[in-house]
Amino acid sequence: MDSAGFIQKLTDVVGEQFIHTEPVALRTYDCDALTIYKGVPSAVVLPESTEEVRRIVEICRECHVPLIARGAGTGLSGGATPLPGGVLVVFTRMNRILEIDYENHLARVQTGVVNLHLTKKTLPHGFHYAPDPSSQAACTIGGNAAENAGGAHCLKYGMTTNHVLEMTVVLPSGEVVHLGADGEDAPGLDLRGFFIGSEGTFAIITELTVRLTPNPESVRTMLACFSQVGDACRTVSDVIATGAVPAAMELMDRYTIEAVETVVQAGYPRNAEAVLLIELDGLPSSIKPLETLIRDVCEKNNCSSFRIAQTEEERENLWMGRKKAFGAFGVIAPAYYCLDGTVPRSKLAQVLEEFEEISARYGLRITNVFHAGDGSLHPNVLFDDQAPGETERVIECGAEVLRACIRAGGVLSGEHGIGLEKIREMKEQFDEPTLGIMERVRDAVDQDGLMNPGKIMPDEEHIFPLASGGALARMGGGMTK
Amino acid sequence: MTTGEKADFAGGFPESENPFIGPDAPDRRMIQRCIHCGSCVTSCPTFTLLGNEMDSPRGRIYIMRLVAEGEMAPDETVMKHLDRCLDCRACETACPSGVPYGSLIEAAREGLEKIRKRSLPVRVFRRFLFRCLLPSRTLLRLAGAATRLYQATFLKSLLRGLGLLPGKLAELEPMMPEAPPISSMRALPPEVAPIGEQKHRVAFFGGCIQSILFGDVNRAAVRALAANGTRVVFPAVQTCCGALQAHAGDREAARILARQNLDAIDAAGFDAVVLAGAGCAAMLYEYGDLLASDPVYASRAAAFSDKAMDVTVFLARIGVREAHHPEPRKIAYHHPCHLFHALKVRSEPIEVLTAIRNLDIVPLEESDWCCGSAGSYNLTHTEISMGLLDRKMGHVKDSEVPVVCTGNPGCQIQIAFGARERGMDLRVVHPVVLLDEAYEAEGVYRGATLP
Repeated sequence: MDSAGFIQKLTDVVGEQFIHTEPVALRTYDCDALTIYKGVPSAVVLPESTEEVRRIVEICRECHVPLIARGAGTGLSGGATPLPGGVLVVFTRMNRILEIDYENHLARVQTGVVNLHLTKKTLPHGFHYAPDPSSQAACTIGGNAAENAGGAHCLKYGMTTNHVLEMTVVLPSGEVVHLGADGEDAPGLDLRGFFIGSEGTFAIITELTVRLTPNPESVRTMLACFSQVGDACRTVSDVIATGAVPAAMELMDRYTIEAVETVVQAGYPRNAEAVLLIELDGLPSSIKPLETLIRDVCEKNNCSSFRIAQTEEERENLWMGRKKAFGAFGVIAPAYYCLDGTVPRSKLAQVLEEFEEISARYGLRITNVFHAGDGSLHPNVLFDDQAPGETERVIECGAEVLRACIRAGGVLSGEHGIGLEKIREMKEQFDEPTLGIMERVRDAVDQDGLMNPGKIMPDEEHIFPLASGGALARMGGGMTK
Repeated sequence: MTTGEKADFAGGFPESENPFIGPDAPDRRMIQRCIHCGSCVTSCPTFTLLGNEMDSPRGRIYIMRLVAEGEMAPDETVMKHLDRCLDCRACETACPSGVPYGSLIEAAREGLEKIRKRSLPVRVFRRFLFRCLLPSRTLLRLAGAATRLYQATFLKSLLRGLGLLPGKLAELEPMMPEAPPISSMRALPPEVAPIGEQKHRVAFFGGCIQSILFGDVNRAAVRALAANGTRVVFPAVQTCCGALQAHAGDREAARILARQNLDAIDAAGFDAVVLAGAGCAAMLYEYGDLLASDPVYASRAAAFSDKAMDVTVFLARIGVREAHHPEPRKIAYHHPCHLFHALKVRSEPIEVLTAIRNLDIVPLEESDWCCGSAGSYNLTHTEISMGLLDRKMGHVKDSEVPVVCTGNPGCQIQIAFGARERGMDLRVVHPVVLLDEAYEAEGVYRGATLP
């Protein structure tokens, strides 16, 4: 089939209004929130149902054109970066909340439902959707499942995989299957767990049944400030060592504080080297002793000030600073590269020191804002994407940061996924046989390499152009891995 | 895409003709401030309605960058997506990087206007509308009177009934606001004395369409100001603020009008320049930016912008006098985008309404979402506009209020139209009008000479 015939077939499925092939449109979809790599798709389609997705997959299979699924395009590892020439399937129209079952704490949603929209809808009824990535105001629940997204409150409540009970997915064969069940323990193989975090390389998720979490009886949010980052890190492992499980424990360093305070005035002291944002939730009677305990641990680790939010407004403000931290880097640098390694809590201080050393060696500033409670780091390399050669250097610097995490006994990704970003480091994380079984499993599901090829698994075949000398990819030659 | 394509583009479209390069072009540093995180997309009404990245703030900034860097020609598709922006600036509220999206899109539109191929009649009409009709009080009053005549006489039913209105006009005709009696279109008196002791002295900015169609709002504002110890001066030679022109890409016309207003109103001599329309307010706040590179007017414009103030902000700041409304009812407040997102005026209108002690203000879902009016957007992009209005009216219906308050003429016209279309018995009113009614009923104005 020629290219025009192929496009016509896709058009027949979604309708003229919901397929884009004009160059300008295709370019606006050439990357997600990771802007280092770009790929221009051959078409962008916006289906509105599982059936439309199924037909799109069939057409692509017949024509051997790869598919890439995209929710809101807020992913930070390039999971939704199109393979050049592939078809990008965008889920902004599949945004219906299909059913809410408060009695059984379940919601059935289409894949493109925005994370925060589900929480907003259920909040007045005493429930929320617990996984809360910083991008929750925009990111989609399907995208969260594909990446197994985390968030600040995952320390206590678990990652996306702990909240998705069932998924409807379209396989590369065009078959529609249902993985998992509404209950706690579905019989048979746990294929649900197997597909979550596969970053669209197995199949396309179209509907999900997720768990709704009852709102806590009460919440206390506190801010502890430190004049040494090391002290803040030690506080984190000391708190967890007491057996306490805060709802969230977030660390921000002084560069992050500076950026945040410039943009939103969250009330973080600009002279602190680090702040810890700690949240407790539960019954008021159980929170009180924890609060005292945490204050003691903070003081023992030389915290310079400790404050508990007195009003809901103050609490929201403290959180707004955290939620907007990444975006705020735009104010202090033209571009940033957000990494996502995870290390054992006890190694936090040591790893941050190593980052300092790497930062000095590359002459690139590295800022830190992360889910300290579960050791899930977010080092951000700030840079100028217009400076010739800087993007390449940033990627090298980022790789060193990730290697430092692996050396400390950590892993490549806490919640952003591997995507394109960390693909080269997969070989350092896993040995050959382990990577081999992952590949064989993927190939068993996606025999023709149709689903988001070139992601997660090290791959010599698929090339994604590197944006150099400008985040708008003037193609400086392919990136080989 | 290869580098070859860039060469083709550069060949067919020299850098000197790039609409996004030059002193008035979208600020490249501000474009780069966008880090492509996507936090803004769900705040954008057009993205929510259409689902396309190109119709999101992030996508539009990306498009501006593609054009500015010479990678894309500013073709029809580029224009379509940039034109579809409401300029509601909800994305600025959502943006964690502080990207000044409003000024980017307006600069982009100014650039596109230079290369846009408009037919002669359209060009003549735009020039007449932006540079002759809106700035002229006389012509506007004539137009207002004609509208009134049309609506209040048999002409309306005759033309409608016979189907004499051509295509697009027939579609737009019902959206026309109900023109007030011609007597309401009269100018404000040059000066109104405060009731009681004078504590403040302000200049009042009337606005063009506002003065004709919402003369009652302006008079209510002036009376309420007087009731709060404020002497109100109305400099007669003032003209249209230039907002509609700027939104439509004719920032040069806006600059001309801004200079006229700066000449007409010596802001330095007043505590504030007060006005009762959100769209105009946002424009006056931006005179400083608009004339930043004007050697003569730059500093005066900046000082003027510092003094410009929505009437609710002024009243809230001076501590508005409380009152009781003769008809205590449930009301909802719709935030005009240009107050909420552009000027971050959020609590002040509510404070003014709260000063009316016996009103029951109920929450309105998505009260900070654009109603689809957006200047002349409802005329140029009727389908999208009506989609947004539908969403808005759904929430109004759910709130079960008989009164919606909002402080912008465009929103008032749009929501009132939405109510008419849906057969809803809804009063749409500026907050200051309710305040004025409360003062009136309580006898605050007794014995005073007021407009």
